Amino acid sequence: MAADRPMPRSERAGEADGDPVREAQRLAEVERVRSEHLEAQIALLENRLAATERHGAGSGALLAERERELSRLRADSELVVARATAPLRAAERAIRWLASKLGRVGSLLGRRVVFRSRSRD
Amino acid sequence: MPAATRPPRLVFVHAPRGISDAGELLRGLAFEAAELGAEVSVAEDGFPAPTAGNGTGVVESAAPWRRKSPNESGDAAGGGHPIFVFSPRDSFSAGGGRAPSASQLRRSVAVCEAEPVGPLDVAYLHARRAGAALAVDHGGIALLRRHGVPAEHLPVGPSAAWQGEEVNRRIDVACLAARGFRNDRIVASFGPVLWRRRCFMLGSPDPTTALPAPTAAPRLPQGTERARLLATTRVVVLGLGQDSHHAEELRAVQAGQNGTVVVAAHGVPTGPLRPGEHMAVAEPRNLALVADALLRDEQRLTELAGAASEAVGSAPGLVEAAKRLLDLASGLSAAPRSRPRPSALIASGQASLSAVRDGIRERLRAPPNPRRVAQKRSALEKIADRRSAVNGSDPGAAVAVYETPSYADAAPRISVCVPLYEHADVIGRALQSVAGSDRGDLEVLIVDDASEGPAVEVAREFLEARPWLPARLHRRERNEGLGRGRTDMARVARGDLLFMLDADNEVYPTALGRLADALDDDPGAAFAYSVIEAHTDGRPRALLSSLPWDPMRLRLGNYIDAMSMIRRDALLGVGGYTGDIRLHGWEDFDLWCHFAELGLRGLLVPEILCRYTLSEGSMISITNLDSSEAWALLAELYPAVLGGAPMPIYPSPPPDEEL
Repeated sequence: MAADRPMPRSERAGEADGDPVREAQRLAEVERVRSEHLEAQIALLENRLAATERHGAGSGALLAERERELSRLRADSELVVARATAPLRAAERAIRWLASKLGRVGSLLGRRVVFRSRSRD
Repeated sequence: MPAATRPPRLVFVHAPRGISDAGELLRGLAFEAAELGAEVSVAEDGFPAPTAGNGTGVVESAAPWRRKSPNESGDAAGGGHPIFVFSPRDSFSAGGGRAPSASQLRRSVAVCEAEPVGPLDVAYLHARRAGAALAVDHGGIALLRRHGVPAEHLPVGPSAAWQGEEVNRRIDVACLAARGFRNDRIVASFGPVLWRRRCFMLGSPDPTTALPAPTAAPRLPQGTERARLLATTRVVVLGLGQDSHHAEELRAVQAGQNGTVVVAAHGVPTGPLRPGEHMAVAEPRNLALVADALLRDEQRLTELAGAASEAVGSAPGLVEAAKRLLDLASGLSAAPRSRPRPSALIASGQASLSAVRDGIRERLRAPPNPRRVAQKRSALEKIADRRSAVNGSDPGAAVAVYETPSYADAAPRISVCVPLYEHADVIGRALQSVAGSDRGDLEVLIVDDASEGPAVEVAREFLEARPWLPARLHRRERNEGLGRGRTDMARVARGDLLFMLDADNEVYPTALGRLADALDDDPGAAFAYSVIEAHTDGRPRALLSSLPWDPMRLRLGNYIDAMSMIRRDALLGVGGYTGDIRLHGWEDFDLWCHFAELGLRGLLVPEILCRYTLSEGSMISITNLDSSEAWALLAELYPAVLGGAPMPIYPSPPPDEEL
């Protein structure tokens, strides 16, 4: 190992000795390394943003899919209900038809009774 | 609390090296109980011996806030028998403190700052046998009730005991209580985001086993130290605890009370703080990005801090919890539990099973693996062959082969020592990280240890392109090992501070300056080290050197990486690094043990300032193939530090996971 050199001490802590050109070169290197770190951080932010957007898009698609599923289920349910209640609705129609016929017959008979009573007078 | 009866005497019991949050909660409750007029004392060494004092074990009062109750008269206050208040999760027996006796437990109130679960079933045992139980978290209450313990809710609110005096907020980001491999990895990923910031970050005490370190000091600040930390911090990151987040509510209240902005992971209970209104939330991996963004937005930061202070200030204080505690204690004082609940029998069975499990674990760790021993021997023989290859008259001497023009005139304060063996592909990045350091008063010393590849040429080309960087490159004809290389560089270094940088590692621009400043601020420290982000191909993997200096923790293995700043006088004073081939890869561990044996100490700068490259073929990997011989040697060399310590286990971390 080479012999020890004299150990001069800088009175300005934290600053390099030497000419301004060297100091400028050093500061340029510092800025370059810092900019590399900043670029890495920007890349990280872009990745996270893309991931967030991807997850957001995924969530939107998932939501739309769920809504479609819900519509289909609702339609299926309506069909089942319609089939289950078909006899009841047929009976209702029959009752309505019969009631309308009975109403007509009743009104006919009523009108005849009224007519006869007036003609007897 | 009935007005006619005297308040009971309360003894708050804390394990000497117990859980930090448990200590915080007990401290706050003790303060508030004393404010309410109760006689309060603190046992910091675990439960007192049952035979001591008045048959109750209480021998002294160490609480600075101890106050006599107004109607107290002599020894008869509160009926003479004290009521103990403790956290079941505190590991009394493991921490060196006395565990509670059955009669003491029947006169105790268990205060659970988190669920009494974990690797130590004794937490269950204590919670079940206690006379009464209070829990911060509703999940913990449900868990205790399922096991027959009528636990009640303990509301956490602000307390004057947790208030720190704000001087100036010099710490930008504090991360409390990261635990476990995964969360260590997340904290390691904070490095590239927060390296410019002033941080306070600690890693897991022992992520391999999750067992408490039996002899180590608490890693998180407690008491006035924690209050001071929170009062001087701008943003605190919560939600990186392992499995359970329940202790985070306590920290959130403490932070809000001290005007510190909380950034928490989703789903973390934060008491009175509401996301978006009083605090910010994010995915765990994005916590650092959100904290950094908040620090850039001073107005938003101020708004959140004010809103958090207001929210916590308007919440019911911890005094309400203290009142409930006194009620329970009064009841126990009048009629202590006479016998254990039936569930205690089940707990006893579990304790027996734990003993069997511990026995099996102990048996598994005992014998060295013959295959690994043979692998290690083969690797060491190759290294010995490399070192014995003689060429020239003094092949072990390092000869200066290149010196930059600025080297001769430089007056460095810091000497960066880079031992080089191969690593031609990464040495450029290591040197560039040093060249980009904020500190200009440094020199770079490189000793090539007879590399067969082009490492020397790569280093030389790098230096030739940077004539302004004071640097000298040495080369050895024969491989002499890492220890001698570092020691030789220490001898020729002109700076009084030496930074040890391996060729495959890097430093952030702020690293050297902050480590040097830390040593300047603490003249009694022999060396300073920072938290290190370990990565593989740029992906964060783990945290290294993430715990404060504690010589007793060395008994569990080396937890401080070689990448540190050492005072030159201290290093040369102990003769430098060891060159013993039996400690190949453990040179730094040997040095820390040597320092500890001599009473010298290290200093943790709790910020991520350095990066470490994890590789399969590292020197530590060779030594860890079979560490029994190295461990025995260290125990012999440093009996005060390692004497009688069992050999630790070095398991592998879990598989990599994309963050």
